Amino acid sequence: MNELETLIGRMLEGTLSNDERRDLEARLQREPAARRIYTEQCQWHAELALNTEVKPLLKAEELIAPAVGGNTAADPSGNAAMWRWIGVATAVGAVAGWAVLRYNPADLVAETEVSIVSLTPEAAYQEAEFSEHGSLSRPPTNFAVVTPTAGGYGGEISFNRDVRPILSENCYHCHGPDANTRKAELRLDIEANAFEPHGDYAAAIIRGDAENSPIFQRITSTKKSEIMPPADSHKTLTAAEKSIIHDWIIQGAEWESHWAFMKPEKAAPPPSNWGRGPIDAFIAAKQVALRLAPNRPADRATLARRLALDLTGLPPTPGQVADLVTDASPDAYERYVDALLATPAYGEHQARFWLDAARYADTHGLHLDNYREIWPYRDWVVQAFNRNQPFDEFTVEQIAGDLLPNPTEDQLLATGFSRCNPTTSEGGAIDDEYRAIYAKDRAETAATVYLGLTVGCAACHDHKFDPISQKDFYQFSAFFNNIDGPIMDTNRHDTRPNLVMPAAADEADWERLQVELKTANRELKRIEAEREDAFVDWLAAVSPDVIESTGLAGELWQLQLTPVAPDAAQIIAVAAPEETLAWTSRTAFTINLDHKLAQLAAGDETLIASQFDGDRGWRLYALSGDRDEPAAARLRFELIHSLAAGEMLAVTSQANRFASPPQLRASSLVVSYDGSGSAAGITMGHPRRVFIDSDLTIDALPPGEVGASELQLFASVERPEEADPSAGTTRIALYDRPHPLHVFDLLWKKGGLVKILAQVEESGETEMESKQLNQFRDFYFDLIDPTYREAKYEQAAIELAHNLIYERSTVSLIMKEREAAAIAHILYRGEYDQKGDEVAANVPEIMGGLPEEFPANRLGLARWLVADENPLTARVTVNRIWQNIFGIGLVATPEDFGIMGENPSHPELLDWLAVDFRESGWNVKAMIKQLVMTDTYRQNARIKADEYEVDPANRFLARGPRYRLDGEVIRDQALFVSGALHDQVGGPPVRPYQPTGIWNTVAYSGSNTRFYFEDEDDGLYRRSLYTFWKRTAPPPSMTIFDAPSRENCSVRRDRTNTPLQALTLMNDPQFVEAARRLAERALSPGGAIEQTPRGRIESMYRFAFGYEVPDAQEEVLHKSYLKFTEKFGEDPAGAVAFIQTGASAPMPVDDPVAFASLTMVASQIMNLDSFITKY
Amino acid sequence: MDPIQHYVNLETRRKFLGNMAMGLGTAALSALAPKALLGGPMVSPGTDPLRHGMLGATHFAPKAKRGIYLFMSGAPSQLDMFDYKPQMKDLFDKDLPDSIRNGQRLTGMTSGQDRFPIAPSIYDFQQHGKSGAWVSELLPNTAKIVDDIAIIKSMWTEAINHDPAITYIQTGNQIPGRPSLGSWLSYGLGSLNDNLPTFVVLNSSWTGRKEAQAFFTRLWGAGPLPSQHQGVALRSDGDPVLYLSNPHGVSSDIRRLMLDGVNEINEDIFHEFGDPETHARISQYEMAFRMQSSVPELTDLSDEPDYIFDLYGPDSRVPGTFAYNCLMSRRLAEKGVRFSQIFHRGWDQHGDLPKDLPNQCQDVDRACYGLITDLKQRGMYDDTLVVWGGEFGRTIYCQGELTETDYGRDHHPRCYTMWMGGAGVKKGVVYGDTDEFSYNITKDPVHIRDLNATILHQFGVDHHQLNFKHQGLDLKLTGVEEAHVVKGVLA
Repeated sequence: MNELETLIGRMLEGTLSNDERRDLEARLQREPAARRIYTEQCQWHAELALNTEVKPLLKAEELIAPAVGGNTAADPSGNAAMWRWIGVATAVGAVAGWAVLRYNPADLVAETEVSIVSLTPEAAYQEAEFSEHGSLSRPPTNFAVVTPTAGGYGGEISFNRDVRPILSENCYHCHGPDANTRKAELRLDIEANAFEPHGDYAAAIIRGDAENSPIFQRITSTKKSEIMPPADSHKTLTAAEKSIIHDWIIQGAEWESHWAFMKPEKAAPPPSNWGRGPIDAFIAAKQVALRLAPNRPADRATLARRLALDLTGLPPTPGQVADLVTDASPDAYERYVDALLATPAYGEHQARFWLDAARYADTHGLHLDNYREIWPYRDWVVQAFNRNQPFDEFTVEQIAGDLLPNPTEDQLLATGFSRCNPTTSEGGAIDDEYRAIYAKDRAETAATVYLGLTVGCAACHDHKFDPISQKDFYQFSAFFNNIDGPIMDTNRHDTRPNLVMPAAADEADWERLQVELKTANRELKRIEAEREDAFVDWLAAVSPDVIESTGLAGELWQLQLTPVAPDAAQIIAVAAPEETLAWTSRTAFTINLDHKLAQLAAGDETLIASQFDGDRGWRLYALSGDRDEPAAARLRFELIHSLAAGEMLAVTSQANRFASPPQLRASSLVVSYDGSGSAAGITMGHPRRVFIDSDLTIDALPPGEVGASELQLFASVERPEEADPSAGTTRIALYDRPHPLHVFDLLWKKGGLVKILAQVEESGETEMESKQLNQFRDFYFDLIDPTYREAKYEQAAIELAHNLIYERSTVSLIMKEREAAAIAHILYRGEYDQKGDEVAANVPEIMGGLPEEFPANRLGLARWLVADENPLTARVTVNRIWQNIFGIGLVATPEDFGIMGENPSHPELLDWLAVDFRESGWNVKAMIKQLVMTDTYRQNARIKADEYEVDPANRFLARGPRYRLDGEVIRDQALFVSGALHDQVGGPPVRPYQPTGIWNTVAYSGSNTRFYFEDEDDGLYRRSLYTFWKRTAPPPSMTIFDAPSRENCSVRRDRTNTPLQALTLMNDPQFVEAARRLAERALSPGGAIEQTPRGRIESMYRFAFGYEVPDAQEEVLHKSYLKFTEKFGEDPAGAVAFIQTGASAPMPVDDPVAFASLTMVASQIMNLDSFITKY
Repeated sequence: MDPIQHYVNLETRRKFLGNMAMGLGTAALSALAPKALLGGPMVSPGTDPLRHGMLGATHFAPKAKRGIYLFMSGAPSQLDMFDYKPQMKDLFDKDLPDSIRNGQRLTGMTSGQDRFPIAPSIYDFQQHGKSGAWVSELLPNTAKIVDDIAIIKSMWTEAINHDPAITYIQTGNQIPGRPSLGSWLSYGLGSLNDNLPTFVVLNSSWTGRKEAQAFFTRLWGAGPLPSQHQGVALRSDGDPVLYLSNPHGVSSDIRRLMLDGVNEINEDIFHEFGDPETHARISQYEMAFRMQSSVPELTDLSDEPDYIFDLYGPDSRVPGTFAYNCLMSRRLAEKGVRFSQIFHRGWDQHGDLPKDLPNQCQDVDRACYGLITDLKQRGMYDDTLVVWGGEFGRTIYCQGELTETDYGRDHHPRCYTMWMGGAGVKKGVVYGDTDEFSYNITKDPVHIRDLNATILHQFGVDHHQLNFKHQGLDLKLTGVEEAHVVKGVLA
């Protein structure tokens, strides 16, 4: 180090003597080179630039020029590296160095203005140098990584750390694992090939001899025909990269396998005099190597908040903070940690990270993007974390719970992990194509979450970088290619396979009915076979007359209705049936009618038919669809004993889970009643679609049989104005017993059968097509054959009861394996219709394949994932846990542990944690606790200027973690501190505030998630984990804060900082209302120590952060408060309007101006950088 | 930008403010903050990712400073608008020859049809302009600008259903999750202004068939790119930008006071922790505040004279229409919004085409003409790229019942028509051609990847070199397969 550098170093340390100072000044005055070096350093050490004693010696342009012109790069002497060293060595004392005592800020401002003018984006844009490729800097990765390397000439090179990244980035595309793009038969990804003879060459790499190694010759060649990488690859090696290759070769070109594929070993922690355990020791060792020094611990109040946010996703209460701060016992911190780990909120918080990875959502995701019911899986994840299920079990159950012996309901629910992928039912979609897409998605997700491998790259070709062949990929996807269920989701919420979870009251019936239904179905099959001959005989003799005259038992009357006045708004087709029913509340009956629905506007209803005397009788209405599906129609049936007394049964079908009866086309409608005296005894619908799920049921008949009188009844048909004139009821029949709906479908189709008979006769054919034959078969068995008909009636009753329970049960999508072995085909270029060889399910060859004792199905895969030999699962998992606590993983690319991923910042620590995790029995809570117990975690988060240079992203943790909270945590925190949070754990998704039109603007017009309706009560205030997640239009207040769309697996979130976030926090009613409720908390009796503006502000801050407001902040908030009262005082109506924000009623107050002003201060608190940041 | 450099800049500022805090009020601070933070002293040009994008500078001289993409969701029928096939009249209701269909896969909608009867367009076509481009009677106004645009008749894609196809053309991949075109431009090139988002999306009402295909926020999503690059939907319903308006009763003055307090405390917090994010936060709040006035100014069309509304047609006075959005896009372009994209739904004419297509055309025809003409008269057409089109085309054969006056058309990915104009695009050319059935491309095929490469090219970006590392891949808008800039449509 030369003298000048020493001087600057001492100056930064603040240890420069007066003599030395004069010496330095003299040099700067005299030597342009010294000035240049000094100004370069100004970029690293701001205090140098501001040093008023030196500053006059520097020319302004010198001070500015290096940064603006960017001409610092060409320093051949390697000075930059040494200067950097100075910066590191002086880390602690530098900020306190020469204080800026006398400089004139005006100067700086002036210069600032000038440079701004010359740097307007437009100007920069215009002036940018436009060479073909020259001005482009290589796009950086999306995170800042400072990985220390030996670098440059002279240091010891590590293949994995230094060389492989260069080769993989620049060479593996043509000289890597993918045989299809490989050039010259040369591989640089496997040792043997790189060192064996190639054509005229002894080897691509000659150990110890860089100059004669072809690889080095090619990368340093100046000939266009020789240079590597070739120009058309758009890649170039930097001088530093070339020198690393050079040094590596002359050091012997030692080869290493990729670290992530080697089994982790638990190395002894390095000796350390800092910290309290192995983790701290590993962290400290790296800091020593980098000349970083750890921060002091944060104060307890800060730690109380940090821990609560990290462990539960919610802030602490003031009481919790006070307890921790005042608890003098040595285990106070640990007990605080344990208490947080034991709260249900812990599981909710951990589940949220997992659900990003599992791409959980409440809709299918493609095309119609309809509701999908899989929230029980979400709740299972929450519970699994809360009962601290060992991670290996957690894994096995999610990957293959269905394949475990006698799986429990929980183990089946867990397999929802592989059912969270987006699915479609788009009209023209092709099964094979989507089968391939789904298997790929499931395989990619499992590989990302457990292995940190990007296997999806190998769907079209061998992986370009990692040793994963295309065959490996399809073997892996085969595990997920064997589901026993349809490919198309049919736009229903319950796409099979699914798990039905009836309510407790239904459980026994459900169990019984499933058995009975199976038995009944078997019985039907048996009878059908037995009666086949009878059918053949019947068919041989059948005539149109036989068909036409077939009816149902118990028909009381049947009327053909003709509208009396086609143009009239209301048509009454009065008809007095010859036979009337002696009707009581226990009289069973069936009504069947032919009806064509009119198109109804939202809110409309129309009478389909009735027998009603004004107080007694029945009425059948058509209603417009409910709020989710206004275009669909519903039916409402009322069975009324006494309208005046409110004694009636009524059932209204729900549109959002059922298609409406075919509209604008006449169809058969049926209502049947079993005489049970209960609304559950009413069945209604279109014969092929039973509307049994009702959103409105009235069940208010008096007990016992009443009203045994005869009524003179009549039927009527009504239709609204402007409706289709052909709409209405044309036929109506009444039966004295309940008939199952399916028989009416057959009656409806009589005409078709007659037509077929005529056709057959005309053509002279003796045989019917099988499709036609089946229609006669159904007709015969269901309506004619006495044995079968009776059995079918029984089966229909069982089936109906079964379906009723099904429809009101909670359903969750699960996995179920087909009988056949799991196989897949290699798809050429990933195209579903270009099938190649068949392959059996297996894990990648590089990882040794599936051990023989493991079954070749998902269960084998699951066991292998958590087997001791698996080098990845534990590493990948502890890395994500680390990331959740420290903000960035030890491997910054948690989704990619492959060759293109980042090397770990602390490889030994990662391995130590991985082994420890496994040895602990995959104990997640213990792992998290272990991390937060460290001194590394407990440091304060203050950033020291010099250390920031070395470690801007805090990879080496010489300070505590500090970063913006996730959107869910920000919202939950606002709800929590305002006292609004409704902390129910689990349940169906909820719909909190959302601006209008978010769904409707993009949704398919027929989607059942087209219209968003906010919940009215608790649903507005639940944790964000429970917010309804529509994949094609996720909640904006979450995506604005970088929540992923849940369309694919995501294990890392960005943390952007944007104006839209500011707008959300300031104006989203959720946050405005939370601010008001925080103000209300302070205004409530006992809510503040002192009921003064200052007292209330202090109180609100305490609720928000758990601890006391710092004086300076209190000053600002109080000053703001006074200004708000002034402004709101000018507009008291505005103040009143402001506090009305949100669905909850504001607290009644005498002084709305003060209330509004306090609310605005609460909003200020909730917009502070510290409020939305963990630190 | 280099995070270290960024930090040093802040550190400099921190010292400066530390010494000034007592003497300098928050008003001065807020006046200084945005500039100093977003492009202050000692920042090299082209290194701030927020302002200049990750590329720093373009790869070559850009022709387009900004772009407006008019997206017709649902797939407009090229056969009834641009791709004139007079021979088809004689083949009415004849079967499409197998040699033409050539075993191409069909959607589930028509794969069950017994036959594929040819449905000639019932609309008259005429040649227009010096270029003599054929345009149907459904687009009388677009016909007037044929000499200003390049019509590409040979677009094609692989996807045959809407969801994958629209995801494909917008993000370069049929599977959801990749960054959209606009996000790539925002990421690569950054912003041109201080007060408005870089990439804005406008959704339009439509008058054709009400049952329209869904689309998805993913179409303007940022995928794995940082979320600030996702498109900001400018809404016609409620706040034009989500959460833009202050709550009821809160005036701009109160908001300013509120922010002054927040900024002052945040400055304290910055002093305590030295975290550059805190300063970035202050500047983002300031930008939010500026947006609260700049966006309403932008969306208040009362300063537009009548003749401008006349240019775009009467719909342009109705918020949410395509014409209104076109006018809005011109205003956005003027204010330095890099890229805006208007989505117009309802083009999926499987049946009743003669009933619905004219309405759809009427929605967009006059407005397209108005937009191009307006850009021209303002001298903006030279550096504003305009692109028009959908995700695929429609079949010559009829879906459903064919009569002399009624027909429907199924999805057809093998050829369709789009047009582009402005910003270095050749004027008055018709590029590529199709066979007599508009079924296969006979000349100069343009894959949707090629189109995307060309759009990037006009912005000065080499599509090979705008990439983002994600899960082991260098993600690119054009993906891994070849894509070529369509030189033939470039001046």
